[in-house]
Amino acid sequence: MTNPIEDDLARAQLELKRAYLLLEAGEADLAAESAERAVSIAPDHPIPTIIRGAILCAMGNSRGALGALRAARKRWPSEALAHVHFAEACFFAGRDTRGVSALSDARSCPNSTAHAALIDSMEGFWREAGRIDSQGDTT
Amino acid sequence: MSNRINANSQTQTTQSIDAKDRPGSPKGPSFGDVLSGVADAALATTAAVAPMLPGGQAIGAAAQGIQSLKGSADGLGGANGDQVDKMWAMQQENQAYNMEYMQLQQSMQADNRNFSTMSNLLKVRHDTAKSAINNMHA
Repeated sequence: MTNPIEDDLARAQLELKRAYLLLEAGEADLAAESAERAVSIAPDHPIPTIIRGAILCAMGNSRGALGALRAARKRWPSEALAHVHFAEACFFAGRDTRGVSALSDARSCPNSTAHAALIDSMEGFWREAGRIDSQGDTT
Repeated sequence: MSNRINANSQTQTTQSIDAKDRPGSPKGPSFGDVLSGVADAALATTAAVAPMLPGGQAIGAAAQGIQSLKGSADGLGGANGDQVDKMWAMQQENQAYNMEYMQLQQSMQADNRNFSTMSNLLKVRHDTAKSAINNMHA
């Protein structure tokens, strides 16, 4: 007996894996299409929407990434990953204050420990780039 | 390479001391003679290895300049103004070279640091995404 929800998640997972492989192969547009399919298969799961936003950000589409990740933050406020990737999109779009605040939101999420390495690396990178000062504020 | 150079300079120094009696004896060389032998060997070695070092041309030229000064006059006090000016200019040039190389080194270290930070972020980002996709459940 199959569970339709589990089936959808498995299909969405497959599309996300495909999206990452395509992204690494330099096929950014196909990767975005694959991530879009994952979102339409499992719209109630946070990961497809967040990963789609992260892929848009990696493609240089900051505006699209901000839209997708803003929606993800609003719908799943306790998901640290949505805040971290939103912060990244903010920094790329030049919205440093918003980025710093999103990183702070990520740290206060219940699952922040699982993503502590990503939060720390993200903050370290933008600090080294001169966009965050030693107090954690924008420069 | 460095072994060969050290061996040569050591031999020359030893020969310059052994060629005469020990210092302090009536016929022995003066302290100045011994020091002169050591300085000759050191300058010759410096001039030989200078082309292999950063800013080496200036170092080599400086070493040869000092040797020629030593040969033509009795120490630096005997050098004429033109030679001193040349040495001074060479020293300035050498200093400029050193400064330039130091700045280049600092710049490369900063680039390396930035590269490491970026590489670490990309790796963590990739690992996090991979783990999030693998752990997707209802």
